[in-house]
This record gives sequence, C-alpha cells and structure tokens, in this order.
Amino acid sequence: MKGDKRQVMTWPAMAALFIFAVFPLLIMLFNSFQSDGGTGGFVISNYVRFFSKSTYLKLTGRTIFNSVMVTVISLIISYPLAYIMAKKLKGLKNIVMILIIIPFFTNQLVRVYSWLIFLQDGGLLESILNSIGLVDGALGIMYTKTAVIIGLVHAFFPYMVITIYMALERMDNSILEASSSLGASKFTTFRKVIFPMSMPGVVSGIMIVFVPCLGTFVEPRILGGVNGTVIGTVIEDQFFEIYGWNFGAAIAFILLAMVLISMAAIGKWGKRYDI
Amino acid sequence: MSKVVLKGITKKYGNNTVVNSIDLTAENGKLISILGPSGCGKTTTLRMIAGFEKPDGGEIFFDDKEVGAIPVNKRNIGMVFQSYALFPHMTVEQNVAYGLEQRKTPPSEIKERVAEALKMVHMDEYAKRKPKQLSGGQQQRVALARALVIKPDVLLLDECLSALDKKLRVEMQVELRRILEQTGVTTFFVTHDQEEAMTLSDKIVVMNAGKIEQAGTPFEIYEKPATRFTAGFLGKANFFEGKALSFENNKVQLETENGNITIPAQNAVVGQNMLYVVRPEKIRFVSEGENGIKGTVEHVTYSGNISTCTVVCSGKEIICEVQNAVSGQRPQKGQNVTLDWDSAGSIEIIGGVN
Repeated sequence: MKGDKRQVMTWPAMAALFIFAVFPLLIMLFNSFQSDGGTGGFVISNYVRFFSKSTYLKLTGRTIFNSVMVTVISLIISYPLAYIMAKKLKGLKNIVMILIIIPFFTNQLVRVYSWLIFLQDGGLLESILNSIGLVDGALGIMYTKTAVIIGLVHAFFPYMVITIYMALERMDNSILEASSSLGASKFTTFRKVIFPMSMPGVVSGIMIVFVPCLGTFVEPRILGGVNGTVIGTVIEDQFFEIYGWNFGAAIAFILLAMVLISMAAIGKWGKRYDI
Repeated sequence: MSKVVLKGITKKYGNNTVVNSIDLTAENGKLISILGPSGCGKTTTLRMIAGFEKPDGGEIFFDDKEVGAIPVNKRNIGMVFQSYALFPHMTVEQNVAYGLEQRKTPPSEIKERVAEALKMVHMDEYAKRKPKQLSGGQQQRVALARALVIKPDVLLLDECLSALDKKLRVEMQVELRRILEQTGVTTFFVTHDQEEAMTLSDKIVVMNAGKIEQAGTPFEIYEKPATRFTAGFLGKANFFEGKALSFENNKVQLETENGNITIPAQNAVVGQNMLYVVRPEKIRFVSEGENGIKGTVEHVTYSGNISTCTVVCSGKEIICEVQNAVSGQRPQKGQNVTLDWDSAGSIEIIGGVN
C-alpha cells in the first residue's frame, strides 16, 4: 500500500478520531492517575480507593447483575419473536419490525419517563392490574431494580431481535428440508440445525446488549432512584455533582476494562459457533 | 430400494395447475430423469415424491405402499438439493451421520457406515472438514453420501449438478453413474440440461406445462420424439411442415410457408398436413449435380469436433452438423451446397400438426 494516494482520503477521519476520541481518552487516563488538589505527581490512589471500598465493589456486582438479567430476559423475549418473524410471518413481518424499531427512534428521556408514568404507584399499570384483580393496592415497582431492568430490556432487546432475526432469515430453507428428508422431526431440526445455526446471531445479540448495558446511567437513575445506583450513575455523580473528576476518570477506566474483558470473553465463547 | 409409481398426480397453486394428472413408473434401481424447461412442474413433481408438497390429487406408491399420508421424515427418501444444503455447523462426518442418528443406529455402526459412504464418494480424507472448506464438487459428493448412507427407498436429485462448472459436471456425471450402479437405488433426477439427462438416465421423462410430453429411453426420446416439443427441447431439430403434395421414391414434396420443398421421407399421406423433424447430424453435403436440396451456406460455427452450418434453402434455414474429419472439406460461408439425408432421418411426428 506504500505510496497509495488514496490513503490520503482516510486522514480526515483519522484526525477526527484522534481529536475527538483518542485524545480525550488520554486526558482522562492522565486524570485518573492524579490526586485531587495534588501536586501533579503520578498516583494510583483513585484506583486503590475503588477496590478497597466494599460499596463500590457491591455496585460493580449490581451493575453486572443488571446486565446479565437484561441480557437473559432480552434473549428470552427476542428469540421466539425473531423466530416467528423470520419463519412464520409473511407480510406482517415489516410492520412488526417497525414496531420493534420504534424505541430506537424515541428520545431516551421520553422513553424512560413513559415507563415512569406507566409503572409508578397510581400509574396506568397499577390501575389496570387493580381493575382485573391481579394486584390489590399499590404496585411498588417504581424505584426498584425491577423497574430498572424493565426499562433497560425495553431499550436493548430490539438489538437482540434484529441480530437473531438476521441469522434466522438468511438460513437456506433447503437446509431445513434436508434435515427432515434425513428423518428429523421438526423439533430435532430446530434443536440440531436451526438453533446452532442461529448461534452467531445470538452471540452478537448478547454482545450488543450486555456490553452497553454495563455503562448505562439514565434508566437506573430515573427508574431506580436510590436502588438504581450502578457504576454508570457513580461516574455521572463524580463528574457532575461532586466534581471528583480524577476519581470519576478512574472508575470510567475500570468500567472500560470491564467492557473490554466481557467483549473478549463473549467473542472467544462465540468463536465455537462460527459457521 | 423400491419401484416408484405415480398415478394421476396433480398439484395446484390456487387456480394454477402446476402438475396436471401425471402417471409415471420408475422400475426398481433405475435412474429416471425428469427434464423440462423451468416452470414445467418437474421440481414440484420431485417434491411431491419427497413429501415436501402434498398432491391435490392422485397417489404415489413406493412398491405397493401408498406414501401420500407419510410425512417427509418418515418416508425414507434421500435427497440432494441444488444448493447441496449441507449443515454448515457440522463436519463432513457429522453431516453424513445425521440421518443415521435420526434412525437410532448404534454409534459403532454409524461410524462404520459413514466411513464406508465417504469412501464411496472419495471424500474419506475430508471427514473432519467443515462444508465451507470444500469446493462445490466436494460438497456435492458429501451431499450424495449423506443421502445414500441411510439406504433410502428412493434417491431424489434436484438439479444437483447445475451449479458445477462444465468439466466438473461431466466428471460428476460419470461418478454419479458409478455410485448409483454400485448402490442400485431407484433415482429421480430433475434437470433442465438435456445433455445431462441423456448421459445419465435409463429413462427420460420430458415435461412441459405440468404434463408429460413423452417418456422413454434417451434413444427413443432423441430418435423418435413423439411431439414437436420433445423434438425441439432435446437436441437441435429442423422442422418441415406442410401439406404433402406428392410422395414417391421416398421423397415427399411439401407445400410449406416458404414455398414447396422436397425432402426424403419414409411415409407420407398425400393431401394431408405432415410434420417431420430432421436432426442436424443426419444431414450430409452431397456433391453438386446429385439429387438433393440446394441452398447457400449462411453461417458456420466451428466447435472443434464438429461444425454447425446454417444453410438457407429457398427461404428456409436448415441446421446441419458436419464432422471436422482430417480429409473432409469444411463448408464455407456463401458456398452453394446440396443437402441430402436418408429417408429414415426424417422423423414423422404424428398429430404434431396444429
């Protein structure tokens, strides 16, 4: 590629990437090794502080727990939905797809506040459940972990539906016919052929839901209240409430490490399903 | 391995009759090609034998057993698809073992039979590979092994060679013939490639618009086509059509739309409309002055072993093929020539005149 003049065309993009992503990240990295009001010397106290306090470790645990729950629930919702869309629906497919994609186009705050109105005590869900007699009195979902997980699932499951749908959709129908011609029942065909072949879609779905879930802070804050504190909200507090930028930066890098580690782990696990 | 009989099989999609009451018998261990243009109903017929489609009328028998109510996975058929349809997440070995696993064959026997099947298609060295690591021809062999290892009553091949390039296709045809003779399984082979059908089949069934035009050995289909469609679909054909004005000394004079023309023929009814088909390789060039049809060479296509010439004889184009022998002279464009052929070369198509 030496002397290839076309390379010049990538320079603006490279420059933008450096100025807007790499450079700020380096500043943050530098900050995370500074002490508050310190002399500018290199310290690791911010990291030590995070790992030595059980509160932060507990929050880390809660963050991971939330992400796992959201991923699992999304998978349980998404797989059957994607399967029905890919294999059963014909004309209706596009309409269902649009309904699923709508959360993408909705402002995050609008989406989250809609859930707030829907879930809060005296809200819509409560009156519905009260009137059909499932629940008596206050619902008590709002400002709990459950509310956070509901909000996050709603925000992230469409990604999962789409990745699984695409894996199922591009599956050649004659492969399924081959399976039944060889004597397999519909259930065996699903278990031995369709499901394994859709695994790459499942793996990318898990990646695309689990990883960004680790860093969320809007849903946990609004829907979870005090019970919604996760790493994301702690970082936000450090930057915008407490002005503890150095500590905030350190937590942000710990979060980044978690993100990278989980991506690598999911990627490695997903390798075995490569087709 | 079974004799397969189709009785009055019909398939409709809405108001569209795709397969219209066809009868067909495949003797035990024979290879039957179903040949026809796209949309003629050949693939639908195959899919009905497999059980993927349910006939709207008629019966299908494997030996004496009516299989109409038996679902695909209980029908004991082997099928090779156009796209091969190998399971991409399984190795070659696992692909071939799949059908045996469904039949609850003991693992030791599975291992043995899979190895045997892969050996038969010369793929034993590739047992541990994934399909994507194989070439088209190799995938084809695996698909064939996978279909045959279960010892199916009937083997169904759906245009399975058409994705291969020409050289490989010819190789696979020979290979397929060898393997099928070895296993002796009754086989249906759907194709639109007439050459392939000729080389492979014991019997060819020519389909058109949901109906069987003709069924017979490759020789019968080519040399004695029963309909204009069969004659035109299989191989090249010159049609001579018109009212017979006179018939003597094995020569018939026809009143065609291009004027009168006299051609050799063994039979004619004077005063009636006749239709003859003449295969290009039956026509020969004779020296000037001899009896024959005079014309001018308009076009010569050289294709190695033969040359195909278009000769215009009083407004009618006649296609003829000549061997490019060492001594022979090849016709040149613009040359005036005289054509002739044995009267047996004119095949009369009875009832072919509309």
